Amino acid sequence: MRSLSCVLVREGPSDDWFLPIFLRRALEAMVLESFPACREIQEIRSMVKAGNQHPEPVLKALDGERGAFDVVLYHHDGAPPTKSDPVIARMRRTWDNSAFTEPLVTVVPMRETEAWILADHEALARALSVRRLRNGLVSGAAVEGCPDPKAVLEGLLKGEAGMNPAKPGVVRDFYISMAEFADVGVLRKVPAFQQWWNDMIKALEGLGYQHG
Amino acid sequence: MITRIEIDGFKSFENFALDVPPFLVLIGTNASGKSNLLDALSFLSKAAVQGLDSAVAAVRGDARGLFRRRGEGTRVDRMRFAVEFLLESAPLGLPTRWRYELDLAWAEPEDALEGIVVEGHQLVALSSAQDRWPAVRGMAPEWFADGLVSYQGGRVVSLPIGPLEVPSGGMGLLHMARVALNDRKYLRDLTDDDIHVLEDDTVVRVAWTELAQMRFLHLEAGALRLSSELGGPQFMDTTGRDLPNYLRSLTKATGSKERPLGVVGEIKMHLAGLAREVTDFAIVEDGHRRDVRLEFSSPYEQEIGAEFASDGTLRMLAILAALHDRGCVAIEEPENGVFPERFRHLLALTGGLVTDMRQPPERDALRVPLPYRQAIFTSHSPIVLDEVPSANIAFLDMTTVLENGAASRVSRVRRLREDQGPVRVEGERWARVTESELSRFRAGVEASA
Repeated sequence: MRSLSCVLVREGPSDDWFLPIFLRRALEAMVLESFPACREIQEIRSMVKAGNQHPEPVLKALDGERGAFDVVLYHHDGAPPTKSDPVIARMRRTWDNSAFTEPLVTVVPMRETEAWILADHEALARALSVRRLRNGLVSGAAVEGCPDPKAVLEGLLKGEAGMNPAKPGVVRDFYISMAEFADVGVLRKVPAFQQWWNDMIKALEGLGYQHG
Repeated sequence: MITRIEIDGFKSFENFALDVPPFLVLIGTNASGKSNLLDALSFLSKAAVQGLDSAVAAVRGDARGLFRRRGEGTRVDRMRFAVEFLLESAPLGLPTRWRYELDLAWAEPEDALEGIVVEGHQLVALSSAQDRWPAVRGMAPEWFADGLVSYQGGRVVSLPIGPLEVPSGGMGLLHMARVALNDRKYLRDLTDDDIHVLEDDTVVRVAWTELAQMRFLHLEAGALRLSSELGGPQFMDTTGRDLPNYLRSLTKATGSKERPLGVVGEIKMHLAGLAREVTDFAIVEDGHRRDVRLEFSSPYEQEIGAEFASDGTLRMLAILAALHDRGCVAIEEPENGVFPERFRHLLALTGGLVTDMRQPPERDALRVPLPYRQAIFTSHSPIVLDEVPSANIAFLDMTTVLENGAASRVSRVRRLREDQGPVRVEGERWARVTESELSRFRAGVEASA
C-alpha cells in the first residue's frame, strides 16, 4: 500500500491557513483520479521554521525531516515575477544540487494565495453564510488578473458578511473555511493552480505512484 | 457591561473589589476564589432577576453557607454586593453609568422562616469624578461625545424591598422593586416628581435587563449532546443544555434576508477554524420528533450527530455561541478538553469579539451601536499569560486576615505588573503580581511549594 507524505515550505504564516488544507484535498482528488494504487494521503506538514527566501534554512529544516516525506511543496507568490522568479530558480538549483532525492514541486500563485481563495464563489457564499455574492466580483481563471485579491477578500468579509477583518481570527478562520469548501475542480480552471497540478502529477509519476 | 464588582461577606470575600474590563481572565490555583467570584456575580444577577431562592439554587452551597466563615468558626451575618455598569439601552437623556448596591442579612423573622433577607438595595448614578473606569481601562472620547457614557452624580434610586405578600422565590428583587414603584397607592401620593418616578422605573428596567443578560457557563459534555425540544427553552443553561435552541434563537435575533444565519454564520466560520475535524453544522428542526438537534459535517463525513461529535468541538461551539450573544458571559475553565493551540486561538478571538472601549464605538450599517459584549473566563492555563494582555488578567489567591483573635483565609485579587510598571498602584489594596510569581504559575508550581 503506497502512502503520500508532503511537506510545505510556505511564504508566510497566513499561507498556513489555506495551503496545507486545500493542497491535501487537491491531492486526494488527484490521487483518486490518476493514482488509484496510492491508498493514503497524509496531512501536509508546514515547515514553519524553514523560511523560504534563502535555500540554506530550507535545506536545514528539511534535513531534520529526512525519510519522513515524499515530496517538498515549495510555495512562493508569483508577483512580481522579476523578484520571485530568481528566488524560485535559486531554490530549484540548490535543491537539484543537494543530496535530497525527493522531488521539489513549486506552488506559485500568479500573485498571491488569496487569488486562489477568490476563485470559487459558491464556496465563498457558503463560508460567509450569505445568500449570494454581489455581482461583478472576479472569479474562476480571471482571479489571476485581480490586482489585490487580499483587499477584495477583506471587502467581502466586511461588506457581505458584516465582519471586521481587522479583528483577531476573522481572516484566519475565513481562509480555513475556504480551504475546506473551495472546489478543486473550480481551482483547476486557474492556470497557476493547474500548473501545480501538472507538476505534481509529473513528480508522482517520477516516484512511480502510478504503479502502486 | 459590568465595570466593577465589590463583595463583602459572601463565601471567601472580605472587602473585595475588582475593576472589570470587557475581557477578563481570572487565573490562580484551585480554591483561590475564581469560581467564588463567578458565584457571586451569578448570585447577584439571579437575586435581582429571579429572586433569592433562585439565586441560592444557582450557586454552590446552601443559604447559610454562602455567608463568609470566620477563622474561629462563626459566620458573618451580612453580605454586601455592588456592581457598576455601563447601561447599553438607557433611553436618551438618562445617565448610563450606574451602580447597583445590595445589602443582605441572615435573619430569623418572627413571622417567617430563617433565611436571607434584603436589608436594602439601590441604584446610584455615578459622577464622572467617581468613575474610575476611563482612567483605569482607557476609553475613546467618542463614547462620551456620542452620549453612550453619561453621568448624573448624586442621583439615587432607592428601591423598595417589594410587596411582602410575594414570596422571595417568586420574583426578582428588581422586579419586585418595580412592582412597588408602580403601585397605585404609591403613585397617588406623587406630585411634581412624577416624571422622576417614571424615569426611575426606566432605570430599574434597564438595570434588570443588564443583569438578566449575564450568562454563566460550566459546560458538561453530556448536556451539550442533548437535543432541544421545539418550543423548549431558547437559552442555553449553565451546563450547555439547549444549545440547539440557543443557536436557533441567535439566528432568529440576528438573521436578515441576505444573511439568513446572522451571527451563526460567523460562529460556523470560527468553529471551522477552531475545531478542524468539522467544517460545518446544521440546526435540524424535526417536526415529527418535535425536537431540534445539531448535525456536524466535514468533507469526509455528513450528518454527524452531537452524540458523535468530540467534547472539544461541542464546548467550542457553545463558547462561540455565548461570545456572539449580547451581554456578559462568564465561563469556567474554557480550556478544559481543548487542545492548547485551539485555546490560544479562542483567547485571541475573544479579545476581538468583546466590546473594546478604547476604540470608538462600533456601529452597524444604520449607525446603531453594536450590542455590548463582555467575557469573563476562569483558567489554570499558562497560555493565558502569553495570549492575553496583562491588563485583562486578574490573579486570585488567598490571604490571611486576623479578626476576633483568629486567622481567617480570604480571597484577594491582584493585577499583573506591567512591563517596567509600578508594583504599587493607588486605589489597589495589594501590590501587583510580579514576574517571579508568574513564573511559578507558568511552571505550575504552587506559591507555597
